[in-house]
Amino acid sequence: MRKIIHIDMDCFFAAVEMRDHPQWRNQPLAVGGQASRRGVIATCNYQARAFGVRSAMATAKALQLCPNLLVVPGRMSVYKEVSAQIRAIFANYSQLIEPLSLDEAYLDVTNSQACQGSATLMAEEIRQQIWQQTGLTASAGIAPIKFVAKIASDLNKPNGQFVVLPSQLDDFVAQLPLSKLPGVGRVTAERLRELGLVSCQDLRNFDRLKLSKLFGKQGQILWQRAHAIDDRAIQSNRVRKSIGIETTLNQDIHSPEQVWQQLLILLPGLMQRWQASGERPIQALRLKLKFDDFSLTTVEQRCPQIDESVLKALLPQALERQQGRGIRLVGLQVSLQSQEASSQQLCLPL
Amino acid sequence: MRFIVSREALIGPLMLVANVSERRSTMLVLSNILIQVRGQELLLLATDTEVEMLGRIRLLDHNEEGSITVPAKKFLDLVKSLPDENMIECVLDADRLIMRSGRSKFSLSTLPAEDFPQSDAAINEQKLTVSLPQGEFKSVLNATAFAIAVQDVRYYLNGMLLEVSSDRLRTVATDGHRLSLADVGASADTDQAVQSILPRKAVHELQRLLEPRAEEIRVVLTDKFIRVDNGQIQFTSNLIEGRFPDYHRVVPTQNDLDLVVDRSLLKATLARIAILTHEKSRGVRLVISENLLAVFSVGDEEQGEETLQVEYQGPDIEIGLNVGYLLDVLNAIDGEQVLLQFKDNTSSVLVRDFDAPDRGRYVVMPMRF
Repeated sequence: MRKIIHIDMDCFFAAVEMRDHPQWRNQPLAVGGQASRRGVIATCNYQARAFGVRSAMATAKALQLCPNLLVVPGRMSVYKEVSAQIRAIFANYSQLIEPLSLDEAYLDVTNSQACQGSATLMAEEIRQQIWQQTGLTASAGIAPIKFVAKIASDLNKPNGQFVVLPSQLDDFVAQLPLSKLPGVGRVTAERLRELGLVSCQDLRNFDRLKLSKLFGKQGQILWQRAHAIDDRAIQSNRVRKSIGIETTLNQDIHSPEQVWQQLLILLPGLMQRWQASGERPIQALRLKLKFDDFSLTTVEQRCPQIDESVLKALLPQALERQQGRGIRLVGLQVSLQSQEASSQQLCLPL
Repeated sequence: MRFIVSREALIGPLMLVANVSERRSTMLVLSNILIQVRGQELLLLATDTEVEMLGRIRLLDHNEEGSITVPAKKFLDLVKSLPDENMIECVLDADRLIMRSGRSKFSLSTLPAEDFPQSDAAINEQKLTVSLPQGEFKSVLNATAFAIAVQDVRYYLNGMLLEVSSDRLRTVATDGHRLSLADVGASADTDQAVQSILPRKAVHELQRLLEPRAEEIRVVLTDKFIRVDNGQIQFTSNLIEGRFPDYHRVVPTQNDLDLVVDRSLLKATLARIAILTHEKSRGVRLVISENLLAVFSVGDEEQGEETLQVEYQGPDIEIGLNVGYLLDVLNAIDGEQVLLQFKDNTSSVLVRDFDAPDRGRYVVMPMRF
């Protein structure tokens, strides 16, 4: 059995802002884009959450729920600094660190000698040190497998931790609602519910073969998770699979020309990001649109470079799905080749 | 409807025509073949609404006119399975086609001929007619077809460019990584070069249809259609609308480092080295020095290398290439020796038949490792 700690900073961006601006501490606060520019909420504090404000919510919606909400712009460079500080703390406990984002990481402490090998004590210490060095609180989940550690870190939030011992693992997972499992979103949860499957225990009693037929590969993963199986190792050098750039428009656009114009604006940015990340061989170019009803569509073409002619050909394909709707977001991505096939076929300059 | 035909006369045209019909179409009638008796002629027609193939077979006496459609694959398989010398009699009986031959009797389901989509290829508004020996036409198609893109969003790449000028037919195909180009003498009633893009499937059907014979065949092109008729089979296909990219820009003109090598030796070497290349990227590294070509696989753990005697005078070159692309080119060339022309380590390679350098040109972009 491994010992995994999942550390998650408590409302990270908002907490940093409250630390640096004490006058904002006692009011609903969110970091995000302005409603007038159709921004979205990145993070909000607990006072705001009490009104129902959530991450990724449109700022306009958040202001409806909580008219007194103070929405401030993010200061990414400060957050990155803090993130580097906490990662330095993690490094004292394990070399096997898998950062999930600036404010979240998995640590595999199976072979760590600190705290006589007690993961629970290590998590306590890490959270203590984060508090001392940054003035911010973090929560932790401790479990023998990854996804359970992540679920556990949410249970005593904020500024708390939750341990799932190996002996408790099976029972803990059995009672979990399936909607808590990674990869089960609204749609999958609804499909499962239609089959009468709500908890992991329900899924354990369900026919594995049937599950596989209904949900494909995802079905096999669900079956494993419901049986508390998660063999994914901590990946200390997580490899990026794609690089993207996108923009939410100030106003919906409708015509192909307008979308093309936006794409041409994004294109140099995508190129820059790809170059900055080391020019890894490209597998496909992907175009992403979000319509005014918030539904998303993506179209892609295998091609080894950022090619305007490919993009031009992808656009009408994506717009076939427009069906009169306005477009609120335009995005571009390249998916990268896996590390093994790290050679790049060059293109004819057609 | 009733007709009698020898299996021998039927099988050839039927095999060509039936291949066009769609096995898994949403329109049931498209998986059928239309059979029509008109005067002394038996007509066989299949279509996928893009490519249409019409076969004509001369009949003997005692026929009864009429038309019907039957499942193409089953009809073909039955005819195939009969002995070569058999006569076949088909009679329409209510909604069944009764087929008798020797001691066999089959009853096939049918769909009405009226439901069968007939192309409205308005060939009257002719754009131009090209004439060239049938075998030559086949060989330029064979020489270039392999480079046609597969399901590219740049839909105009999913076909072959036919460029017709007064005394020449040129075929060009590219998938964005490599390009093939071939020329053949032809006569056409045009002063300027006219371009048409032939869909991938049409190219493959034409490759099947054309025979390596010296007699002339006429190719008729309009804005929307191509039609080729060899007397027995009339082939019609839609063209891809759109503009083919300017291929001149990517055919190198300054590759003056010439390497000459025996084609079959190089092919055999590459086939061996290919086994240990990475299965997706299929990269090989060519290291070229005076009169020597060394080929290395670019794989994960396993390694292959082989050296070949070649004719080469020039600076050392080291270049990465997709071995599959190279083998495709070597298979498309007929000559005993091939000419590989390089510029440097990172520019495209031009490959030609050493004995007929102006017949086909093949451009392959390198890989970066």
